[in-house]
Amino acid sequence: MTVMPDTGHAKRKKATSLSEFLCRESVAGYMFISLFIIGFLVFTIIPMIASLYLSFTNYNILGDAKWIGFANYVKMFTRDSKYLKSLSVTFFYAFVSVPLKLLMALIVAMIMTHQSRLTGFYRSVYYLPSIIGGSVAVAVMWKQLFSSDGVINSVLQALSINSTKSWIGSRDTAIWVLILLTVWQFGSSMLIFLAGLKQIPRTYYEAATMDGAGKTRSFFAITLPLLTPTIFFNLVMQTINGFMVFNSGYIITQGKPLNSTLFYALYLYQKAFTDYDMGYACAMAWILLLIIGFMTALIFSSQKRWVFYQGER
Amino acid sequence: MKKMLSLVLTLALLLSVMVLPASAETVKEVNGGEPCTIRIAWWGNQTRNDLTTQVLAMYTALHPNVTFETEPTAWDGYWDKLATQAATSSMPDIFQQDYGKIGSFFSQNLMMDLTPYVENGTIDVSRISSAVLESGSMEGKLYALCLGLNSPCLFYDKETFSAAGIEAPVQLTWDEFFSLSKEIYEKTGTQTYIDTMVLGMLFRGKGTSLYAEDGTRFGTEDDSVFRTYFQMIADVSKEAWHVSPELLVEKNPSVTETMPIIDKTTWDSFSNSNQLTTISSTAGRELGMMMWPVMADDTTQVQYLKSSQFFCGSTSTKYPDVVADFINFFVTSVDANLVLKGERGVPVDSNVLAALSDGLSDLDKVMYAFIDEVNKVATPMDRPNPNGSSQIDTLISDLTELVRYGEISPEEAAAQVFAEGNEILSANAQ
Repeated sequence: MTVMPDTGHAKRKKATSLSEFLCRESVAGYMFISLFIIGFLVFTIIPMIASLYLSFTNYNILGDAKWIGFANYVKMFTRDSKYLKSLSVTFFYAFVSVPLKLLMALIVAMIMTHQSRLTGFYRSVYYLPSIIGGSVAVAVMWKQLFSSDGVINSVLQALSINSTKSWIGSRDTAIWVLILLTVWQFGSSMLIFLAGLKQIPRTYYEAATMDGAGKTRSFFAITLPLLTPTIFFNLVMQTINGFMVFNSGYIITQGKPLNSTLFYALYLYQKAFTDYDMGYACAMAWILLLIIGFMTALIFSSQKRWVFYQGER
Repeated sequence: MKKMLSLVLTLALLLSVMVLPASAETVKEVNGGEPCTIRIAWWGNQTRNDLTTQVLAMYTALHPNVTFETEPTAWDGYWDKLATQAATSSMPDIFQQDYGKIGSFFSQNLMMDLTPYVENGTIDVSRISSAVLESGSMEGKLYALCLGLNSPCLFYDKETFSAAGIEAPVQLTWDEFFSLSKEIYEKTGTQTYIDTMVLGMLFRGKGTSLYAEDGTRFGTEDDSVFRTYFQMIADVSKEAWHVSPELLVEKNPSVTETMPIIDKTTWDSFSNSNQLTTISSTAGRELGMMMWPVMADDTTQVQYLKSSQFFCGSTSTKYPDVVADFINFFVTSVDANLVLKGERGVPVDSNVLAALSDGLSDLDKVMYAFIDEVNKVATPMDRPNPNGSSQIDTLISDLTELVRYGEISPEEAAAQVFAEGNEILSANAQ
């Protein structure tokens, strides 16, 4: 702001400068995003700061928060075996389900690129599980499928395999039932793969065929390298989702049997809303943020080694 | 046909609601006749929501200046919501309270003191037993008024019993319970389920309770009762007649719809008497009631009468006199309780109880008779659960699961729950 020595015209000038101020392009820009900024501050930043503070306290919602320093964080890694279990369950789940899901999505996307009259129909059908995938209804259905008197066992019995196994009640199989549910919901990754596959110019394949390359060779020499940016994107998104998994564990198994499906987010929820240990849950949330941040950073830093951007070089 | 019947019943009920107030008690003006809005929250199911809403309408008919905003929730979400509201100072004016939570709400000063309203006659407790009033009092002052009496009970499947040709006794010893379970399994293939709730009952049988009087530690000096409990869990888990832990993951016993008794996976369910209607209607058949089993060497009757649900006013309410008047109406008005029909448990006001006794359904008669039986032998109820008891519950159910799967020995589980539990309790007491 400039200094205005002429006080007699100050009022008039002020009015002009206000309208000038409002007419500036940057101001208009800020006005437009202010709604978002306010929402972001009120519903994201402030709660995050509050949860950071609460993570250093003993807080049971009803009473006042008591400052206890790093005790929550220390307890997590030294005295809470259930917490460590939930960490290992979540890492196992993410490391197994994400590659499987991407592989599944890629295979189906490859098949989908073949044109036929029913392609549109098949695409919709394969995308369907992803639309309804996060929903409670699917989790409930999954529970029915894999229970001891469920559909899977009926089918096995029809094939004269005598199975009365409770897939979700047995500690060896429960986590796999949940992984299978995730892998089945490959639709959104598949769509992104499809788009990526269509970006690859046909001429490359034609040239490769001229040079005598077979299908396998073209896949590894053309498709895969040119698809790496898409794979990279899917990998980042799915890894983040993988660490935040909650619904299936909550509805199908509730972390049982023997905590073999106790996902990180599920344990966090139980700590907060079953045990009312809100401070501890906040601390857990911050560790989860760090873990996801670290994993994402790791994938990003690895991209120089394996992701190939056509525009570069 | 059933729909038609329920329609007719609803209409009849509505008519009676409209007619009755005219004949009812004399009406005092509340809040000086000024309009006010009362927020009221409770947990429950659809039946309870409907009945409660009807009673609210009755109260508004008597006091046109009072309107209600209702916040009915299921049990699970209720406490999350209430705790959040307490943290943000937006508690409802009136809220349903659980016996186990009175202690922590009292220590945070969230419940309005009702004693002055008892003294000035707004709340009439003359026909309510002192034991019932005591259950809603802290340090000699009344904070919560009981809405109904309950008792822990063992539900059994009548059809399974008649198929096996067994008469159900009033109360079993644990040894009888085990041999009965075996017999039922051999004759019908129906299994048995033993709940974590049993632990509290084992403590009662020894004349003590799970938590010590000041709530800073367990009610025993050593882990012997825990050892008895975990040993029992370990023993029954080896038996073919006890439901497998795998099946318990599928048929979650803490959700009415998936309880193993519903589809006759098991013949029994450890629960509370006011659940009779809900569980029976979910199962689609009538269940019977027994008292909880006892140890042969028990010194004390385990069975007790429990004030199941309460109404409290919040300390932040702007209309304490309306809150008090409504709570009085809800508990002591015969008209209101003819609508409520003891769905929250057997009414505590003797006038109301007498008026209600005619016109009970068969199922309700079973429940009232059971409460009557219990009343003859009941010992006093445990103190409200201390702070941190929900963490103890989690600890116990985790360890119970480990023992069921044979992952740890009963002795290890008992030692662990005793050490960790005492630590949690003393940490929460500070």
